Amino acid sequence: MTDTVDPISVVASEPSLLQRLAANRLAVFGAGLVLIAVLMAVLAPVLAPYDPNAVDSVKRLSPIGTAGHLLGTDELGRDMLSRMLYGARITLAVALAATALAMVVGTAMGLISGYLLGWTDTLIMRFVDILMAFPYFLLALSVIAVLGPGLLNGMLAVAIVNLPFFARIMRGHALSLRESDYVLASQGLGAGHWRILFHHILLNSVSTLIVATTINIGWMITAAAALSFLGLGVQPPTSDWGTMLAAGRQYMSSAPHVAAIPGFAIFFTVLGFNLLGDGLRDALDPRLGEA
Amino acid sequence: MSFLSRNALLRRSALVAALALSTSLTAPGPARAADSETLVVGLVAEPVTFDPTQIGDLNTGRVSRRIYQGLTGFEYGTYKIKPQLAESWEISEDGLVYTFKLRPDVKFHDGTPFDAASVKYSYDRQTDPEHPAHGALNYRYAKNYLGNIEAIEVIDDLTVRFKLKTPQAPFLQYLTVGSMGIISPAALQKWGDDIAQHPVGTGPYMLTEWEPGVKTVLTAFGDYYEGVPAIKNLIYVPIVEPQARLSAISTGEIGLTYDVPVESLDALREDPNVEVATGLSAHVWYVALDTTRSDPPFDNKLVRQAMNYAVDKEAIVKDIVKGTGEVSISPLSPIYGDAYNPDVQKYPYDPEKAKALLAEAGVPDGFSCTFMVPESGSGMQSPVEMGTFIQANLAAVGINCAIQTMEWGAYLTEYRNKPEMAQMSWNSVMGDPDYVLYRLFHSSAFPPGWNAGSYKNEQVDALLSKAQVITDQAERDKLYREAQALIVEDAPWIFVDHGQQIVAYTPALKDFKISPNFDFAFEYTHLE
Amino acid sequence: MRKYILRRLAQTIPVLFGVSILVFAMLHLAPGDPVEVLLGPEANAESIEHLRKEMGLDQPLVVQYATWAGRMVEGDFGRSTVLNREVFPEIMKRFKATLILTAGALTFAVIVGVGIGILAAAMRNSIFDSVAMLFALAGLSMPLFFTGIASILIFARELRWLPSSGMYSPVGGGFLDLMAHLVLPAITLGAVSAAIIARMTRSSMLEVLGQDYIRTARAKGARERRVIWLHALRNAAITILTVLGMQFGYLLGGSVITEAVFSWPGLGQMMVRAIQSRDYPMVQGGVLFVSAIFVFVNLAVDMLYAWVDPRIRYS
Repeated sequence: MTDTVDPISVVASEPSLLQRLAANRLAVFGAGLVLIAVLMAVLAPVLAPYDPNAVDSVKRLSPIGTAGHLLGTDELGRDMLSRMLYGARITLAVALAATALAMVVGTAMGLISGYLLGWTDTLIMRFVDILMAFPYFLLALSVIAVLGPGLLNGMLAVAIVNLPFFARIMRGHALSLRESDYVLASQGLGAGHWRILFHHILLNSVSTLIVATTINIGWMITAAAALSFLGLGVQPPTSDWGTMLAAGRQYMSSAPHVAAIPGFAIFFTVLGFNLLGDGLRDALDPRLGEA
Repeated sequence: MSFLSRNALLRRSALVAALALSTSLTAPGPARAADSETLVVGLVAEPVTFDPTQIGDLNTGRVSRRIYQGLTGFEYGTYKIKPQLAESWEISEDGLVYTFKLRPDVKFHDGTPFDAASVKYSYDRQTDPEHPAHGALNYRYAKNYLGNIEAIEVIDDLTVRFKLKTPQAPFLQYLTVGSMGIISPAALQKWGDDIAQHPVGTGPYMLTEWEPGVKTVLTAFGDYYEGVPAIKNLIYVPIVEPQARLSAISTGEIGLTYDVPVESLDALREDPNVEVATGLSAHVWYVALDTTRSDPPFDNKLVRQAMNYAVDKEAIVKDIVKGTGEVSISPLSPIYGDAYNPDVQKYPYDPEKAKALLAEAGVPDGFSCTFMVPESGSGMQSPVEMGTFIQANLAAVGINCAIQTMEWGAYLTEYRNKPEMAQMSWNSVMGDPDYVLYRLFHSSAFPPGWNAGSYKNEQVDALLSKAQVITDQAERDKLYREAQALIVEDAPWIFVDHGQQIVAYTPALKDFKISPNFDFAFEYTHLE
Repeated sequence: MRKYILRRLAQTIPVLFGVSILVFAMLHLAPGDPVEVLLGPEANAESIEHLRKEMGLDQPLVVQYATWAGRMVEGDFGRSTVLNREVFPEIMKRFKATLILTAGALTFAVIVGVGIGILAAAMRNSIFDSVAMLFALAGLSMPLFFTGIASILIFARELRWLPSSGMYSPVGGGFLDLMAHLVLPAITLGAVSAAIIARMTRSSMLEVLGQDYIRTARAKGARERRVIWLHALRNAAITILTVLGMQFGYLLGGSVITEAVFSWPGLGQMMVRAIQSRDYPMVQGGVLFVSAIFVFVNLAVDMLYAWVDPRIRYS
């Protein structure tokens, strides 16, 4: 909503990135958490002792440590460990896909807007303003009301809500870079708009994008969980952690593990992405503010 | 803004927060609403309107039934018709003329007397667009309940006569429903459409305070003709989140609530501060199958029967709804008494038999289908869990259904749009089988009516149509029993269960009974 | 400055216009029909058709939009189809509750967030700094509804320190009662903002502390505490103000979940119900109202910048 432009400096000194990141203990911890989540997702078929959707009403809500069910069972007697492992797949897939979607579209909008300026800029930025002004939760709810609940639509809803985040960051970048010497120079050499946008401006924004994306994945996971709370998430019997948590809240007094396990899984994964994002920011681009 | 003033601002807000924190820590605990004259009721959602003709949800109805009454009512805790505002009635031989003698001692909350003219006024308001109190409203129930009335005549102050167009067996039951409550004509003249905020009826309680979203307060009506209720104040508060409702009932913040999570029932029953009542209602929970579809082959009776054998209803009742239901063998629950038919074809859990039937039907390898499930919904018990369980049961015999969940608003629309396979539940507020069988199985109720599976059996049609127009109850019951046997054999549904109402309340509340029509009749209770 | 304000005010018009089109289009594209929800199971096809006509839902969408927008411009929000009451007074009533919740959450977030942020900056790289920042990140990583429900079970059900839900006790009421009911939802809602504010405060303080004039002030012998409090905070105020503006919008939006968990009688809860029952006038009016608030708060924040920091010029 503001007209002020963040003067974001161009990043140099790439070589020490990993070293700097490695020196940041919290960032390493975060990367470790993310790695664990990713491994859970990838290795789910190998590690899961049961079919995550096999119901057994007799064994329902068995506590942690039940023989044969290390992490107990849920409200339909499904193995919690297997569901948590498979849940990692859906959770990460939704978060990554939604982030990717928001990032690609938002970046394109931001770059074009900040580079071309003029009426294109006005048009795009007013659209972004509209998205931002629209109460975000109701926006997501309305998107799902239109498309119906489900994996893809939920993802689309959170992606749309997060469009402005990327669009505004990238517009700022494009604005500052379009006046930079080498952009002016390549314009002088007759480079076309697309070439300048992609070769010069986009490539120079990669570090910002990486940081923004990492932070955004964490948001997406909690946003998707919130949608599940309102009953608008993934379709059963498939479950992501958010749906597991939302369903488990009914049993929070009688069988707390059903909510606690996905709750902690979400917590540590989001924390991991946040720590990693923080570390990346410090290492790559200390001036990028939080949105 | 100078820096100093900003700092001062910070300091002041710190003070406010500290104050908030200190009150919370020093306060003796949440306020208890336990004096012997006040009962606090935790509703799952807030009441919407107090114009009885406009109420569409059970919650609001539960409150509004304290304010308004009809000519007939139910005996406390049953479906048995009793005189309410009418003292007695006569029905003509041909079943077309009902003459009601009204109670002489009844007053509206505004002090005006209740008489035959007020009955006519309340009903004409709904049906006659020229009526002075018709206003800009839409009277959604008028067609169903008043549509068959040819004329309402005021014979004298205390006698009113209804002439019907055709004989209508459940007419006395119709008079008990919420929208047939009698409103004070004086109040209607004064408030018009805004009667919704200023209700005036003849009931045991009157509305004294209504803060939407916060609370609704009813106070005992001093001139109530059956005697002033023992509980003087009823305070209804909305508590949306089930866990919060649970917390509030065990801490004593509220004195009664319902629809508590079944999982917590055991804990609640052990809680000395909480009493739990469960009661069978006229509820039925089912999965409708589109009987006209050949892909998936739901047009084949054997397939539909196989699906009934494939679902472990016992496990659903025992484990998923924790015994707060009864396995359904027919669309009617046993509460319908003589109209209920226990001798119908049974479908016990038998996956082998299901597979055999599928093979006989020519689909030994099963098939795939789409199964619509609402996220929540009035009377739907635990829709997603039950749906997921049914889906797994069907998958075990080779029928692979993809579940499609929807929020209730969208679900209701889709349900009436010829769904392939969809969950639904049906409640009766008046206890007449016609309201269940005719609406759900008669071929005149094809989508967008409530016969979602487009089920048609000419014999069933004939039985149901006949039972609608005769008034001999024993004869009607017999027709309904016959119809049930045919319907169950045809299996247009997967019959699942009849859910119970679950009410948790403080042990101080005495004489509380669950009413099959979902009412909480606090005028018959007292607090100790 | 005046010219800038006028220009910015003018810019809000297309934004709000866009929001109105967006909300209208989405609602009317969504499956589900107010009439069916309204009439419920009792309805027959005929009365559904009749009511659709009466509500103007059989008209082309463009006509429906024009009718609604025309009335909105005149300040007529229409009548809620479900509540059968004027939409605008209803919105204001609920907005008051939401505002109290948001203010409570913001107060909590500012006190805790700014406090922790300053301390962490003052003790940079200490154990406190690391732990505080880890906690701040942890606060960002929890789904709201989970912490909300957990806090009800712990503080209301088990410890019985605080009421389970709602805004006032059924009997009684008053300021202290409101405050007791506000504590859990405000902290639940404000936790994320507190975390963000703490991180922002810390980093902007560090940035300011690294600047030349602070070094000069230190060199001149001013005591460390005075330096931090006076110079740094004044300059960090602008960042904090920005975050506050953003957080206000976030809190307004985030209150939907909090209100549902705690049965807080606010706008968010009403809007979710309105969407589910397809109460078109209510959803449309409510969304437009919240959007307008958001737009104007951001405008006000931008104006405040100029006040706090005269170096900022608007063209």
